[in-house]
Amino acid sequence: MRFKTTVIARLALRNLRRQARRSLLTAASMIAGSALLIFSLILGDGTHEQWIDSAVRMADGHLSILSPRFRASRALKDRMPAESRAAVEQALRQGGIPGEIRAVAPRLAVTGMASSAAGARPARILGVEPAGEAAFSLLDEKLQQGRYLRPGDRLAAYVGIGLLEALDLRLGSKFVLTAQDAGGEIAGQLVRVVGTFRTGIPEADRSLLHIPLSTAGAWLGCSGDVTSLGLLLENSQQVPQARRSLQQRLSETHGTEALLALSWRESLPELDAAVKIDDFSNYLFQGILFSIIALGIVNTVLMSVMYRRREFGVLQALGLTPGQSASLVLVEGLILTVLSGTIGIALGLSVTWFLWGEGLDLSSMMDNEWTFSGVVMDPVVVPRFRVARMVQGLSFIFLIGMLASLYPALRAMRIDVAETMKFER
Amino acid sequence: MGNPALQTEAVWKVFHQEAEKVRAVRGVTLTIQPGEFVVLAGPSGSGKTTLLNLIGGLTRPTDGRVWVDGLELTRMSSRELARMRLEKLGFIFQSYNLLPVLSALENAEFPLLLRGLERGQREHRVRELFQRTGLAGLEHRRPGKLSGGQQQRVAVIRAVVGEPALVLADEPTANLDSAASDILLTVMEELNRDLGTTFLFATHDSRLMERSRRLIHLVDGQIASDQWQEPRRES
Amino acid sequence: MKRTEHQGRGRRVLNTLRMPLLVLVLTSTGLAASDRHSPRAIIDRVDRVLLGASSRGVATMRVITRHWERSLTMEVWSLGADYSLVRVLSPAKEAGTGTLKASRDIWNYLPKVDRTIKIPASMMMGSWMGSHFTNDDLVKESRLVEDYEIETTFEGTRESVKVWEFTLTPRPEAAVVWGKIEYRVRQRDFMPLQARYFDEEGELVRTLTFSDFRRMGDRLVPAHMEMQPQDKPGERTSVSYDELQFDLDIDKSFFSLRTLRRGR
Repeated sequence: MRFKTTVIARLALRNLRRQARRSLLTAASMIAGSALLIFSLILGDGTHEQWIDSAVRMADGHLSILSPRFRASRALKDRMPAESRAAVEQALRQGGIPGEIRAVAPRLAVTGMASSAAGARPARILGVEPAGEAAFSLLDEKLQQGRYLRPGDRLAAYVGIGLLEALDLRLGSKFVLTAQDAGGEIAGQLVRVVGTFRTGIPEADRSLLHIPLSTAGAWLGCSGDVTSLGLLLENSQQVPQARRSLQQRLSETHGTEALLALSWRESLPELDAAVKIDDFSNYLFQGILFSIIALGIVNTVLMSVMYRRREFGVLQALGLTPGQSASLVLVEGLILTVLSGTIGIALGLSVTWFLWGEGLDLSSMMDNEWTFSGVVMDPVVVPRFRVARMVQGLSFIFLIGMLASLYPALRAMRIDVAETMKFER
Repeated sequence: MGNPALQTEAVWKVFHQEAEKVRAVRGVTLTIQPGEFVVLAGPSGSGKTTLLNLIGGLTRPTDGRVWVDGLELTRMSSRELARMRLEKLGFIFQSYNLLPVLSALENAEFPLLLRGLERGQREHRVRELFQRTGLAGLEHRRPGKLSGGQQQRVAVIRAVVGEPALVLADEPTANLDSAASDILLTVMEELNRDLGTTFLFATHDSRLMERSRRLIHLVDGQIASDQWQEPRRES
Repeated sequence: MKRTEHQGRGRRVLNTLRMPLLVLVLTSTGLAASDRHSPRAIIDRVDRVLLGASSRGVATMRVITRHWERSLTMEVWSLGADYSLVRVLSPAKEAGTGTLKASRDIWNYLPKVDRTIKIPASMMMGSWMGSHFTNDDLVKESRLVEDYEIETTFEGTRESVKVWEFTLTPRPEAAVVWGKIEYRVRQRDFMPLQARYFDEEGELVRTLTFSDFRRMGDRLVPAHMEMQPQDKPGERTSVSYDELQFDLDIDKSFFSLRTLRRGR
């Protein structure tokens, strides 16, 4: 037998209209829920993008290019020689990598010791190109005193406030960096404090310092070489594609000794985990919220089924199969949820867009600084609108509508026709 | 051709109500040929409605067998029963039971809609029946805007529109005044005469009994009498 | 936090001791007569008081802080500036624990678990055998004449001893932490008497005092050294040599992991 979907849809729509008040009430909860869903999704995405942006700018970028051996050893001997670096930079300039590269930061990283007359501390020393690094990193914005490194600086160091205090230094003070150089010898380098920063991350404030790349190269006997090239992209969504394309190009040009293009997910696994956990808790919250909304839908649809038991009896007497009766209920539930869900999403989108499109200031909700994965966060969250999220939201709502209508549909299917007719007198 | 419109063979229906057995239908054997206009009469609780439900495939018999147009219901799945109802049976209920969200026309054509007939075919057939039953012009009213008699005539159209082998009508006149009942009965008689539609009524309305050609009395779930008679002409 | 502070204090104490402890050989380098009394020559000689071909000695280190006091006796071998081997003799709890420095690598040996551990660069700041010595102290070499401009600022009698006093000022880009060092050297035998270390602001940070000049293994050495940090009154660390021999018949092969492990 041919089954006319349009018949079912028409009946469903008219039934919803007949119980307009009940339908509207359920729709309202669905609209509010969907609006909240989409709001929290895009705000969550905005928050995560901000986490990622801040974190990668304090670390190695969305993508970092390094030798696979350096990834494991973090030792200077596994650095990227000047020729490789030039080849990579050439490839980056040529373009053709999907996504937009905002900044490239060549860095020479070494672990060593910073000492002054007052003592010595372990230090993470980063040789950087001052101009490029200022565009790349957030560290220059965390300035406390003095200034960030400038092109032309030589014996200059930009030092964390914790290290500064531990070594009893002030602006202009000299101190000595000691580390194993490229040849494996212990080498010392005198530098002077030109600026200090406070990130709020104890670990960074206590041990991190920037010096000019040229100084680091000369000191460590590997001028022109770097340990990694950091890439800052327009946003984190561009990472997977850019990474694939870049890795392919690196493999082509460097063969088996290929350099690695490492994404932030790999270089900052704890951030990756945090984003996933946060997403999960968001989903969990949505799950609970929508379970409640779903109960409302179950109630509305079930009520409508029970109220129309006779009608379903008649329909079945007229030749509607139990399955068709069930699908009538399902369609009713789906129309209700998908329609109101779509309205809710549109509402959530526009409200977010108009009210907080420029950013939502959460500073009043937070005490002090909000540090996360070693990065201090901007309390202003800029929502992030993505088509994928809308689709995801709609699918979720569709699923909820489906699940919520399932039980009422089952009830409609199991209606005892003779029984419903019994009470007609 | 050649199949009786309805045949039952020693049909029993036993309900269990609070540890008490209620034997609603007790071994009814009955045959109705195409074109018959039969009234099943009996007092309340005599088992008329239960028998009708058994014939309609809405209730499964405890024992015995039922055929509609040669198809044995007792072996059918609920899907097959639904299909059988759609293709072989028409129902008329005491309280009309039109779908309130559909117009008179939509209600009437509903079985055709379910069978997947094209709009043109449906309309042609339904409009003709609206003419024939004196409902022309009321096609687009919702059931709530029709009188009881009009609603029941729409229900009659719905029952016969698919040219079923058998129309089951349970107390079709019970909610109608005598004028409306008369009109309805006349409509059904004409349909029986002109289209050859087979009707089986369950009723204790004497006017309806008088106008039947075959009157079956049901007492305590058993056939007490089954007689042919000369129907009383319309007054 | 506690630990860091403790290490920091120790660090200050030990910077001083690095040189005398590890570089044991007093070399009587034949300086040309004309150079003999130039400040550079004298400081170079003092710097090398404790640097030489090869040596073996037994030393006791005492660390006194406001909160605790500790004493460690150890046996020390050295070959030039690149090779050294240190083994703890007492207290018994730590006896056998050793450290080997061979060119630029450092290993620790822990007898209880019979394991040698190579110290990675990042742990160079770790404390050496629970003392205030850091691993880094063991690797660094002294280069006073390379890193400093030296001038004589006093020549005469202090406490009835004829002395020179030199002021060492770091060369402009020399990788040294001090603002200046003031060295007092006994004229009679070129023995160092005292070294005072100042920071860039000219404040005294610590004072190293040499005493108990004795002949040990044919050489005159300051057998006792004591360092006092300026900002921790009452605290000090001292090292005394009980035995010292020079120019032993040992070569690079002695400074192996096998020796470190063997116990003697």
